[in-house]
Amino acid sequence: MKKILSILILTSVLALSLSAQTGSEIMQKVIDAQKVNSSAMDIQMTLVDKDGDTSTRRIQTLILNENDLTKTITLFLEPASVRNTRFLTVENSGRADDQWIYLPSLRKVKRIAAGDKDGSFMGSDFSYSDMGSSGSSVDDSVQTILREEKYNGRNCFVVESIPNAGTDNNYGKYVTWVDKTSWLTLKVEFYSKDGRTQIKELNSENIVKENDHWLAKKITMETLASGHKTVLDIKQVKYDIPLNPGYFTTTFLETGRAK
Amino acid sequence: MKKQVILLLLLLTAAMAFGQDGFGDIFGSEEAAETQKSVVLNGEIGFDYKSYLDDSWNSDKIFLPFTNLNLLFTTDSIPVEAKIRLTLEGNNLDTILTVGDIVSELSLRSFFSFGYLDLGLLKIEWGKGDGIHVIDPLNPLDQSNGISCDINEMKRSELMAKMNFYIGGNGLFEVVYKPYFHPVETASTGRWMVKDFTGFPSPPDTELPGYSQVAARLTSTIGIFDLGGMYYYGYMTEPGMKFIFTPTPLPTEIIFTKAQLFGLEAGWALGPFTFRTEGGYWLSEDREGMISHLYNDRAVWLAGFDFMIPGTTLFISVQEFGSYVVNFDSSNPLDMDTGMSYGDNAMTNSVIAAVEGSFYQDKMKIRMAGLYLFEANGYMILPTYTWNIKDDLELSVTGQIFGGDDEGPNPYYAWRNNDSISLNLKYIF
Repeated sequence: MKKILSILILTSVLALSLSAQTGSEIMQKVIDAQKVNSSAMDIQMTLVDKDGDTSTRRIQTLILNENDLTKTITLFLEPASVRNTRFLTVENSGRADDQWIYLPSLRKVKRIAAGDKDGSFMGSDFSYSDMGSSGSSVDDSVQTILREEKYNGRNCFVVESIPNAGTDNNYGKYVTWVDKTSWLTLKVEFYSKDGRTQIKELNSENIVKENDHWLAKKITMETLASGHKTVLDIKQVKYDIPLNPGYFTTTFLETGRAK
Repeated sequence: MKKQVILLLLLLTAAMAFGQDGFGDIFGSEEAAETQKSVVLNGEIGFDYKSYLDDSWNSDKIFLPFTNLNLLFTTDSIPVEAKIRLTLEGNNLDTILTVGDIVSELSLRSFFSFGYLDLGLLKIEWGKGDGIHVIDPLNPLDQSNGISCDINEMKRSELMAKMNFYIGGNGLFEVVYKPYFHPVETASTGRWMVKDFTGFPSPPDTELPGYSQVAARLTSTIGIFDLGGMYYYGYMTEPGMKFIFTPTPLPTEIIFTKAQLFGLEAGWALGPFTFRTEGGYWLSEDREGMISHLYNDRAVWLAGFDFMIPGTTLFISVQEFGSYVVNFDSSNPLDMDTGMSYGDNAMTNSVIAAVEGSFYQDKMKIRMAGLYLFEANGYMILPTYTWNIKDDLELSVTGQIFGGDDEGPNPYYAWRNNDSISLNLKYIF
C-alpha cells in the first residue's frame, strides 16, 4: 500500500531496469522525475463492476522521505465501514518494512507482517503489492526494450520485465509503456506467474505538470477475467511540503492527532 | 453510577465544538473541506435473528433490533475530544431503561504537549494477543449472554481515569486509576448459566473506595519488536466463597481476592508471520494458598501467530493461552482454585484458531473459528459468512456450536444445548 499515489513510479520500479545502459537510464529518469521529500494526496477510488455498478472509497495519504527511507501514513475516509482506519508503513534499511494498522472497530493498533501482499486493497483491483513496493529492486527483474511507439499520442518506450526466479512477486511478467517526456508509465500489462496470460491492465490518463512534477491524475486498473475496474482519481496533490513527523508514529495511529 | 454518567454528559456538552475527518490541516479548504464536520456521528443500525437448535428454553428464537451510535466531538481551538457510544437493543425495551443501559461508553480525551488524559466510562484493551488476552484486567467480561467474537462487545465499560504520557514517537506510558471494582458477570438463570448459585449470598458492594485499583503500562517499539510491560493492583475478577459447616458446607459470604498482576507482552513480524505473546503473574494476597476462599498465585501466558497463505487471500491465526495455579491443593474440594479447576488440574490450556478468506473484491468473507479447552475437552466452533451487499449494508450468518466434558466449571459443557444460528443485517453510517 506504500507510495499509494505513486503507482506509476512503483510499477516502473517493478517493471523497469534494463540490462542495457539505455534501460538503466530510463529507469533512473523515471525514479528521479518522481523523487520528492514529501507529498500529500487526496484520492478517490471508484470500483466499477462488469455491470457498471460503482462504489467509492476515499483515502488521504502522506509520504515523508528521510535518508532515502520512506514513511507513509494512509487514512481511510470512506466508506463508513472503514472510516478512520489508519495505516502506517515505515521503510527500513536492510530489513522488511514495519507496518501497523489502527482499526476503529478494534480500537487498537496492531502490527502486521509486510508479507501480506496478495490481498485486495480495499476490495479494489489493486493488490497491496500493486500499491507499493519499497522492497522491490530493479535488479529483481530482467528488462528488455521491446519497441518504441506512440501511445495516447505520446512517444513511449515499451519495456518487458520478467522477475528473476526466487524473487517475491505476484506476476510473471510486466509490459510497460513509459512516456519519454514525463517518464510516467502510461500503461502496464500484468501477466500470470507463467508469463503467458495477461491478468490485469493499468492505464494512466490526465497527465499534467503540477509544481514541476508530472502526474497522472486518473489511473485505471482492470481485472480482465472479471471485467472489474478500479479508477483512482487524484483529487489533490502537494509536493515537498513540511510534514509533522508526528503523523508517522503509532501514537498518531492510536489518537488521530500528531503531537 | 448514574450521577457520574450525568456529570460526564454535561462535560461532553461543554466540550462540543468542531470536528474534522482527514488531514484537514494539509488539504485545507479545497476538496477535502467537504469532510469538515462540527460533530462526527457514525454507527450502525440493524437486527439479529437468532434461532437455537434446542427449544427447551422459552428463548429458542430471538429477534433483536439494535442501534449503536458513536458521537465524536473534537475542536481545533482546545485540545479536547469527547466520545459517547449509545447502544439500544430490542430486549432492553421490555424493562425500565437506565442511563447505564444505553450509554455503553462515555469519555473525554484532553491533549497536552506531553500526552493525553482519558476520563470516563472506558474500555481499555491491554496485551498483544488478537482478541484474547491474559494481562488485560481493567474491564470485566460480561458472559451473561455467552461468548462473542468481539472482546470489546463482551467488556463492561468501567469508570476510570487514564493518563497517557508520550515516550518518543512510538512509546506510551499509561497510568490508570479505577475508583470501583466490578467482577466478571455471568448468567444466574437461563440458558447461559454455567453454575446454579441459587441460595448463595449476594456479592458485596464493590463501588466503594476500598475497591479502587491502579495500573500502569509502558509500551514501545524496538526494531521489529513491539514491547510492553504492565502492573495492576486490584482484585481478581472471579468471586471467592466463604463456607461454614452445618455439618454440610453452607456458603456465607462472597469475597474477592486482592492481587497484583505483573505482565509482559511482545509482538513482532518476521516474513509473512506476525507473532504475539503475553505472560503474567498474579501475586495473590494468599501467597501460600492456605485460605480456601481466596485464589492462589497464578501464572498466565499466551503465544500465537498469524499469517496470510502466500498466493491466496486466506488468513490464518492460532493462539494458545493458559494458566497455572501455584500451591494448588486438590485435596481440599472447597478451595476456590480446586473448585474452579478442570479435573483437579492446576493448569488449564486452550487453543483458539481461525481461518478467514475474502473473495470477490472483499464482497464475501468466510471465517471459521474454533476454541478447544484441553483439560475438559471443551470446544466452541464459530462459522461466519459475511456478504457486503453494499459498502454500507452487511448481511452475516453466524453459527455457534458448543460441547465438552462435565468437568469443573466448563462453560462449553454447560452451553452444550445452546447451539444456534443467527442472521444479522446491519446498515453502517
